[in-house]
Amino acid sequence: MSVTTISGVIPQLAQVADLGPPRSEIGIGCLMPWAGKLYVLNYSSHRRGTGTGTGLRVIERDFTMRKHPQAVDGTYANRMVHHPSNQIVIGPHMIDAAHNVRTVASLVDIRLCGTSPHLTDPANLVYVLGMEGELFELNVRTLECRQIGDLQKELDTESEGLVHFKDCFTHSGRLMVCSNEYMDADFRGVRSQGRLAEWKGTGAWTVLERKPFVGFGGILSFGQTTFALGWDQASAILSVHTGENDKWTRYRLPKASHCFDHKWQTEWPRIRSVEHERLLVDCHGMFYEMSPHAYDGRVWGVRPIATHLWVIPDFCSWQGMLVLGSDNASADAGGNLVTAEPQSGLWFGKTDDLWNFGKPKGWGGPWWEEAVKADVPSDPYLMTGFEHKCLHVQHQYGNPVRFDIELDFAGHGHFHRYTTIDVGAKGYAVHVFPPGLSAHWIRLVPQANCVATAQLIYT
Amino acid sequence: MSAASVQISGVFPAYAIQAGSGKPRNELGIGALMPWAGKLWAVSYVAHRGHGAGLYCIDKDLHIARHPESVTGTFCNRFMHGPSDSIIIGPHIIDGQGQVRTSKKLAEYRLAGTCRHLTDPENKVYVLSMEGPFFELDLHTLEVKELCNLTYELKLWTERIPDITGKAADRVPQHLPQPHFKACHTGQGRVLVANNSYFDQDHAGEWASGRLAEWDGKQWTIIRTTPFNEVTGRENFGQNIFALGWDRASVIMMVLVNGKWTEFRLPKASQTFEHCWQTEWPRLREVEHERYLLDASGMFYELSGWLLEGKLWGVRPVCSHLRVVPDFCSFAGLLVMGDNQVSPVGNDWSVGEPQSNFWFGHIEDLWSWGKPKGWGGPWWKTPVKAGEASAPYLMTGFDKKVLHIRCESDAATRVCVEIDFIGNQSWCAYANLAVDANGYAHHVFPDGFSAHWVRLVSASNATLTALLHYT
Repeated sequence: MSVTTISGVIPQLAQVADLGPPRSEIGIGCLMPWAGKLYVLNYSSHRRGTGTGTGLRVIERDFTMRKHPQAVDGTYANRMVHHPSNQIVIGPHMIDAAHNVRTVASLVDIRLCGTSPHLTDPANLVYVLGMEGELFELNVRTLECRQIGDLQKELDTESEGLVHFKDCFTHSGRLMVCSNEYMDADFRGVRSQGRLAEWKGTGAWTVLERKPFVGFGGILSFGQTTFALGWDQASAILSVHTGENDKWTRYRLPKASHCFDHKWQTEWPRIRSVEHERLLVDCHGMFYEMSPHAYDGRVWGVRPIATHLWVIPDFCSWQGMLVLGSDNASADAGGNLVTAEPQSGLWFGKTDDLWNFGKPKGWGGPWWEEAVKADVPSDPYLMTGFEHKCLHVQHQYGNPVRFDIELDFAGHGHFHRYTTIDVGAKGYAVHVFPPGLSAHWIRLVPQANCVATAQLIYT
Repeated sequence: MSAASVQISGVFPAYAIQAGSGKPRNELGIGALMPWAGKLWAVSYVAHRGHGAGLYCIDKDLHIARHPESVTGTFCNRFMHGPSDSIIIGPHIIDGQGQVRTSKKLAEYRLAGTCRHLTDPENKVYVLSMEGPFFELDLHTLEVKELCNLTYELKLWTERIPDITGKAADRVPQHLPQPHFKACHTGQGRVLVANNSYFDQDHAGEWASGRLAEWDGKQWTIIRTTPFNEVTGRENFGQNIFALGWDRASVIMMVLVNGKWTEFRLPKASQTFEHCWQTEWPRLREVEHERYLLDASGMFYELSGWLLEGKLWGVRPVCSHLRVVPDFCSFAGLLVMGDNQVSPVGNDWSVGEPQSNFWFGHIEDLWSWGKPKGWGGPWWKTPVKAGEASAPYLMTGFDKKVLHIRCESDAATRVCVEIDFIGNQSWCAYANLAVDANGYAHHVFPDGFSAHWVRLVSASNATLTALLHYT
């Protein structure tokens, strides 16, 4: 077949849903290279009732694509290699090395957002998470599937339509889950339905954060380090669990785009390994390179690469190429009257093409109308790799407040006072960093209790 | 080598839409693009009269064909009608099997927009023509009924001029502004229309012929009398509505949230979108899931359709551009633009055969187009009242920034520069500039300084011009 490539996009490989109705969207939720082929699995917005003609596709090395006969319609964004049985789990499907595909009928109508190894019987079982909080135990050999939890109850969330689980991840003897539930009421602070939570296989769940989190990543052979991506009003969030001290540390990153601030808009920003033993992170409209290892329990060298406009629910490395899946045109069940036919493209390139995407820029900071305490430092906020930088600080206290700006230039958590800024009573101050000033992390230390907002704008 | 396979920078020269060399010659733009029933549909347009325009479809192998239902006219409307499961593009109604019907009556008019019917959305749509006739189209019978003429309803003309259709519109009497309606949209229980009429008399303040207006089904209300190119929004996400226009000072963005309008301002990247004929159709479109790509006065931006707290921020400049882009869409993973290029209009003897082409690329290609730069500000010889804040003007995402202020009053004033670094219209005083009577002042922002929005507040009543240059 003759293949047309335009700026890395092969239009013949676009994922196009049935015209319907119904028509909502077709996002590319899973990209999995397996036994010589690239498996593509996509999703409609809310189970098969919101769109047909989605489902499993297979792309061969010669760029021919076919819909797999086992393809089913639904909402799927989970992928995992199950090494003990030498199969992949992708959506409701299990695929062995000979490309035999089996489908778990009872999972077809669950909006599948995550699959991860079982805590006690990893040779035979995996956990499968649904976006509505349904937690299953799936036997990858017999396909026996059993619901073992309702996370709406376990994590005290609201119900379908008001809950939005996004991913699960097993590490350090616990199962992690997250929900990115976030709407106007969460933004205004009168609701907090986002979740980051963990479970040790028995007993009660522990809620770690009541903020929206979208995904996990990590290569556990590197010190059992686990990464979780989320956000709040103030910034994007990178929370890191380090196995050596069994500790979570919260770091903050800029938001490159304001179009990932509602639960429906995020799709699936991912942490994936596309180059050997390092991670490519897609977070709030920006790509970063990051090491999977955390020495001394600290993370540094988070390297901004590019901002982007494509909505990228999954990406992978295949045959030397970086492959990006997208979520492009959404008719959204009539919500969008100038877009009719749901379709999304695949981009093929090399990782270093990302440098030609948008310049790293972003908004964010440690505080957004936050009650801060004297001498208690803020979370570290990423500073490295951005060209122009300024810091805005404003507070609501009736007396002047001084704020120390501290920098960590080595990266490992040792902060040094760079300067102190004085902000008048209920006042505002701005500090523009001189061209060339940079450090790995920046944080602020208030010298008085107050309600403060601090935002950095990088251009 | 097959000519059809030659692709240069995203352009397939063999796909150019050409009018031939016959007369009349004016322009051939690509006015609307809509992926539908496995293909990308496109309509092209002439200025008023001409030939060679039509309806095209492009498949995923990027083969292009001119459809036998093609008619030559001026068409820039696209709309998805869910209840009848069809799209409306130009005067054509296309069903899910790709069957095309054409309204011969509508083909006689220059079609600027199509939008949802207020009372019979199951069966009808509204269609707006550039000269002001506002129709209702029955999608089953193709019956077309003129509901009113907005040129009179919105008081562009107070005297009746007989039978100005699209083909006669270039014979508008000299003493009247030419109506130039550009877009319509239904949301929040009302129909919005935009007219971008703008001539020397508008710039000089002798008349104000642009319009942003709304209709509740009974009465038309004029909201603005400056030129507007676009008004659009989603059916959900709070039905927030965005209208884009301009005046002498800058690009104007009006946002309707829960029935309340708020004005924002953006820079002009180009001075060539400053006359109503030049703008073509700068659009706000969704090409990526649940976010907008905006084209305004020569610059592309990304912005969210969701407005947290009902506030607009995070309007992210992507690039400035040179192509005139009457429509764009997402198709098979590609960003596709329709263009308007070779136009031998007026006395331009340097160009020949009217022709335009499509551009196919990846959205991230936009980053390598022109750096975001622009001119504009909140005031241009504006009688400013003491203590009254200007509209917010976009600041984020630009590199170097300077503010110029000129006072044309006989008393001095002090202008406070306020910035909003959060985005939700929380303002902080950043600096004060003293401006002498009939004087001038400027402020260069330090390298690296940035905020979402900037606005100005004058301490005294004065006639002020305040423009920012971003480079």
